Amino acid sequence: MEHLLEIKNLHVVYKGDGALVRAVNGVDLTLDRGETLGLVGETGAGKTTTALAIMRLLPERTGSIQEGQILLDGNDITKASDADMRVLRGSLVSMIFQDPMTSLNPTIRVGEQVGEVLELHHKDLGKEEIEKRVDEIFKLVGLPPERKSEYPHQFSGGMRQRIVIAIALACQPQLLLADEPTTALDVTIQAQVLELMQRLKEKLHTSTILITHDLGVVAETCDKVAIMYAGEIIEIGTVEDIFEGREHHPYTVGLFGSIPDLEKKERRLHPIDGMMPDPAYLPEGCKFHDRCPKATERCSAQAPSMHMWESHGIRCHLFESGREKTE
Amino acid sequence: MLKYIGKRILMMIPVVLGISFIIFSILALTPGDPAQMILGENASLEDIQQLREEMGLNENFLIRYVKYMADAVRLDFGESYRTSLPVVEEILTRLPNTFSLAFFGIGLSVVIGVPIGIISAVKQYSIFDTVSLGLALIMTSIPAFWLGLMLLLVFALKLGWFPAIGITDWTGFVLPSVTLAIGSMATMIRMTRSTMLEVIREDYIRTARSKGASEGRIIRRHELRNALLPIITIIGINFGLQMGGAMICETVFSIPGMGSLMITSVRQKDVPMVMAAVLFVAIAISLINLLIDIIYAFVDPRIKSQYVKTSR
Amino acid sequence: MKNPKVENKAGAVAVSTKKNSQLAAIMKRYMKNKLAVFGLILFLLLVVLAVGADLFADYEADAITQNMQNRLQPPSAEHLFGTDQYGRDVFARVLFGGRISLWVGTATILISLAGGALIGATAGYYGGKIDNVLMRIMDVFLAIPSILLAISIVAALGNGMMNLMIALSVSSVPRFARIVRSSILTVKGQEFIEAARAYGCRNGKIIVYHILPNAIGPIIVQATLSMASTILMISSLSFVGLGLPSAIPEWGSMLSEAKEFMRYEPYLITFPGIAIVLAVMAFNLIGDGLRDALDPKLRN
Repeated sequence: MEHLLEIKNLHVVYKGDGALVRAVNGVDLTLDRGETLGLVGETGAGKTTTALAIMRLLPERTGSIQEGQILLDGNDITKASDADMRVLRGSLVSMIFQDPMTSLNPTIRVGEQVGEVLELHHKDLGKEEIEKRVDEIFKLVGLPPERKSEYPHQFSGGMRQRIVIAIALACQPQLLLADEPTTALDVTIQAQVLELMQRLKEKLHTSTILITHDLGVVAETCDKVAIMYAGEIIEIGTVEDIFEGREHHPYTVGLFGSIPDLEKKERRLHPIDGMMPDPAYLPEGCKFHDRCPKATERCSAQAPSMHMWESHGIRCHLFESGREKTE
Repeated sequence: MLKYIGKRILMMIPVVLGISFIIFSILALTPGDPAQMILGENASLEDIQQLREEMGLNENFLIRYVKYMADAVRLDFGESYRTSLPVVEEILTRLPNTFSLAFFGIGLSVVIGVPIGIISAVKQYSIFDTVSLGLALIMTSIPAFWLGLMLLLVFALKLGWFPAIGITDWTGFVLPSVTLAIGSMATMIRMTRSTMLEVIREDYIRTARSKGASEGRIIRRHELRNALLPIITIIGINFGLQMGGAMICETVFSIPGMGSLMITSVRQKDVPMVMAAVLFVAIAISLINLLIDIIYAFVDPRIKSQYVKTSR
Repeated sequence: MKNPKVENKAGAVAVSTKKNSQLAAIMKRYMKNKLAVFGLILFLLLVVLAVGADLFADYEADAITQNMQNRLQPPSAEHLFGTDQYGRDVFARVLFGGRISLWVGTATILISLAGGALIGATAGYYGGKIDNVLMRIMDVFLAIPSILLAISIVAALGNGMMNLMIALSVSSVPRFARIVRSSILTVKGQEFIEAARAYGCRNGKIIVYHILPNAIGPIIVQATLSMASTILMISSLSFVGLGLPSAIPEWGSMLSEAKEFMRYEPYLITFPGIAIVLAVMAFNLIGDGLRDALDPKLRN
């Protein structure tokens, strides 16, 4: 069976103020139906850009897909027309944005905002049916349907994120892109929202890409993990590969501080010395070499390729000749 | 909602008192004796003294102000020094003319300026955008009275399409309204464009796009409403300027309005007339702004919900 | 006793070099803006023509003295813009009109700036009750449309250049007062003000030497934009006969006099009008350009 989503060699650039910003540099990714992939990395690593590229919602004037393919259900959406994309957006693939406080239109009743997706993708539905469906969705995400005629400012942050989730899930999309859906929320609300997403995912059988900083969240909710650095995936694997495997990219090692296991639940990222390179001036060779404790001369000259070991892949010269079996 | 309206009306009272006090103080500086002016050059000193006493001119400045305001509340703004008729009558025949002019002017500028501003923002950096910004720049720099003269010259005197003088029917309103509209149209274009540009960058527009909404729908349903809310306030602010512009324009088109009334009254040192005319226009403008605030509160759910309890 | 002074000087030097590099950056941003540069060129042209008007025409002979044999001549090589109903050269009158507008405009802005700075600085620096009372009064002044305020003042004081300046200044004082006050409020809490107070600077001195220089950017922008609206007001008031006496060559009063001849001598209303448009546009462009250059974030 073909993958639900297959990204091949994706390159995204932003043009602005004369500089060319290389935000995504050759990302390969596959996602099957019902799977959840955690996309982890520092701010500016290209996670959100990747998601926006899948939605084809890169900032019109500045951002563009330079190279590569994004196969959604077998169709390359980088070549799809705007009209075709509009049909896909909201129905086949939808996105939950970072900040629920600004993601909702302040002058439209929340019920209408949820109903709009249905109206756009189910043209055969009458007004009453849409209302009925909105009520159902409200209940599904744990909102009282009576409050659908209120405006966003009358809701708390967690409630608003539920509305945003309701909008994203209204048409039961096959692929959900969740861009740090909980970072803007209080810790207690975070857990509630994550649990809700988890439940809905199981119920609706949606594939999800979860963009996050929070490794604890990844350990709990994801099947696969991809770690991004400077627009590249530098390590990818199942949750067990990443959290329990012995071999890791030096960046991942730094990221975890010490490699945690699932029991320890390491929640915070550990800071690594130095800064991520400016994506407008990427270094030669491995993009991590100037921060890498194990860098050799070769690292600054030649870019490493991804070395796969069953489901586990690492983009580093250290693993060129396979791995040492340490058991 | 009534509470909000009541609060806003109460807030207007000190402003109106302040305005009237300032204008009254300024006009109190006018040199010359009104009694002498009314009675003429050859009046006897006793007659003048007697009239001064009757008019209350011998009293203290503050007492005069309090008396004036007490009468004003009963809509008695005194008599004109020239005609000895109550000034209110004259003002009430003229105020509608100035008001309609300002109203037509601003209406026209909204009807034309707002769509131009929207297109400019949506097509930012396009030729349309550049041209309309250029036009807006020229429009802000043209004095209304000169534009009026030029329009009068071309469309009334040379082409004869519109009357050159007065407002006997609607055709008389065309040129003055266009003249006034041009000035505020520049503001409308610029402000609509900039608020629209702000809205376009909002996160909720991206949300709308992620739903699969078309560009046209996004503009109509999501952008316009949010962008037009601030425009309502700008219309209010502009109304004051428009009244001023209308008063100057009246001279160009020989329209009997507040402007020409004030100008002749100033020349004739007819203080009660000037005082009442200025006060009426200032209060009219405050009332319009009050109205705008109330409309704004009605259309912006964020303000409305502070005063209206939604039934749950 | 000597130490504070030395420190003071050193501080001043450091501040001024920082100011210079800031100024260079602002200049650079300004010069990048084509429209703003165009405005600056228009402005320089206006100043040269207004200041050097005597090089092109003689005030008494061309712009004032009536010459009835020459009345209502259309534009020609001798009279570039033609002559008016009294046979005066319109070109000369437009030139000297520029001088009048610039002079009255500048004086008005300076008067209202002085008044606004005094009120705004007092309100912002002392705060509390003084601030509240002063700013409420300013609010009331702002609520009166400037044209009404100007008409009332002219009604009380009569026509004439000085009275016109007073009338126009009064209506723009509140705007300057607001800007100065808010600039003062933003710099007030900063450390260098505390430092100045620590070595015993007097209040007035602190305002003049330390606070005002920091408020200068927004003030200049407001002054430039006010200049544009003031020039418009001067000509509007003169046009309706409440500004300058008609003998003085001023653009608005020229238009007012030309009104009855415009049907057959359209050039009489054309040139003074274009002069107003260009002058007002120059100041608008400079004001907008400066605002963008001072705060690049505001640009769209």
